[in-house]
Amino acid sequence: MGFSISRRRQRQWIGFGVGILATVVAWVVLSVPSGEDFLSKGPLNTGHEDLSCESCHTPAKGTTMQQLTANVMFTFGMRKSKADFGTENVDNTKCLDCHDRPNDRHPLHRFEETRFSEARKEIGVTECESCHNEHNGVRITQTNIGYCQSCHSETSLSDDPLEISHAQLIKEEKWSTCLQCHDFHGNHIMHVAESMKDTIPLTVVREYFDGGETPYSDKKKYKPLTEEEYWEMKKKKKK
Amino acid sequence: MQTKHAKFIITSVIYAVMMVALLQACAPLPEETSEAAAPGKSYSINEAFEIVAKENDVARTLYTKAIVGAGKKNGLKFHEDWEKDEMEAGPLPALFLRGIAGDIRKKGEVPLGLYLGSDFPIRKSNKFTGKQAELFAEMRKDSLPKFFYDEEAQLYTAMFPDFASAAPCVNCHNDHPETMKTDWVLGDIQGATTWTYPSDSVSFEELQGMIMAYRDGAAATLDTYIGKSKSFTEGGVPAVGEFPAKAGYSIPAPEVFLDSVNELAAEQTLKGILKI
Repeated sequence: MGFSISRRRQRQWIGFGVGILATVVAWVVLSVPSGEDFLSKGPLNTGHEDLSCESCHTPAKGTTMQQLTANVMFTFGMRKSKADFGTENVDNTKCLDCHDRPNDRHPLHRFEETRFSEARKEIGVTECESCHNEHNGVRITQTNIGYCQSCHSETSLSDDPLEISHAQLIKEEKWSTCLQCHDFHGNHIMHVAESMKDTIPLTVVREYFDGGETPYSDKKKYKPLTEEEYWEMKKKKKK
Repeated sequence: MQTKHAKFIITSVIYAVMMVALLQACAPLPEETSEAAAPGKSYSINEAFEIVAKENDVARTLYTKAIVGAGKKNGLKFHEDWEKDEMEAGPLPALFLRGIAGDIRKKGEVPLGLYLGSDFPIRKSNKFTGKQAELFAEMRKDSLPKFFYDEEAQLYTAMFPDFASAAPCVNCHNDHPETMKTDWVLGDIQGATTWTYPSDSVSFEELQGMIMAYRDGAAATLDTYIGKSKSFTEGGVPAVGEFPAKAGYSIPAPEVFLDSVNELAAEQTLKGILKI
């Protein structure tokens, strides 16, 4: 008694087999660390090139079913908050785990105050990714280099060190000159220029935004955690 | 016939067990909001703001008078750039407060926001604008706290007047090279502290969390100052323990400072908690 199937059924089985094989291959390729490049939506930003995906995309709490159920409940108004699905949301907390510094001149939380509502609308200053949107292969993604104008339009110094006063620069709306002397987060140990001719050229500031060497100073007061230090810190927190 | 019934019962039991197992596996993640953790809301957010604001008044006045004022007389220095490496100084009162605010947010355990502003600030970027400027103008007339809901940020917000309570407040602000106003006198409203919180009411545990977050922030900021003072060379490393009025060139230990805050704020805080 011979076993025979129709040609149509044969084609179905071949299609099914190819599908299974492709799924297995994709799963294996994407699971190994060297396959991370295929999953990434773009090159990591300057300084993050050697980080593994897991250092930011940590697994979400609960099982997949729990996460699904929680989100279905959220959709139908049965709970107040969404649940992370698959991996945890990469938010400010993740960034600050490594980059939090006591000397930050512009800490995010300060901009949550009511009076910064315009600044929040203009440059989204309460989110790291408003300026450092990851997976773009650069250092800073904020394209408006004169963003200081959102908060500092009334700056004037009684003992101004520059030959052209800060107030005059603002009057002339030369907002791109701010970053030619000052680094936004204030972590570089440097001497600030006292003459416009000694300031950092705008092209160099732009190169720095795009991932070039720092024009401010090689010396920084605080360094971010390395990936190893980050995992060590996480371990200690768990204990 | 009996076999058919038995099969039906067994199948039903199996299905029921599977359903229970499935429901167990699908139990959604518990919500991680403070509301879920503490269901009994005993205090309106305005009552809670009043309590922490009074704590802040006490701690800030104590810092201004007993550390900055008395410290200056005993050789300690205070500066707005106190955090810079080359500066051998402690934080001015406004920066002490900013340190507390930063510590509260950094720990992230309590969603309490604390900010400082004025219509005549030293730093122009600290000038009130919009809704806060309007309410601060009212505050200048009636000296009363202002409460509102910030629709855009979705935060309950309170503003409390900052009275010039000690000579150093007036002298520093009048003499500062960047000051916009040079005729401050004791008792003036020099600015306002703004507090924010995401919900309209809090439980006792949440209120306790707010108070302790503030106190812990004060201790942490004082601790940072003490840490920095270890590198002082000009006047030597100050002693750590008692207030300058008692021990001279000395910074009070955080627990000594908090003990004094506790003593000075206890009555008002207790009245606030008991709503009497």
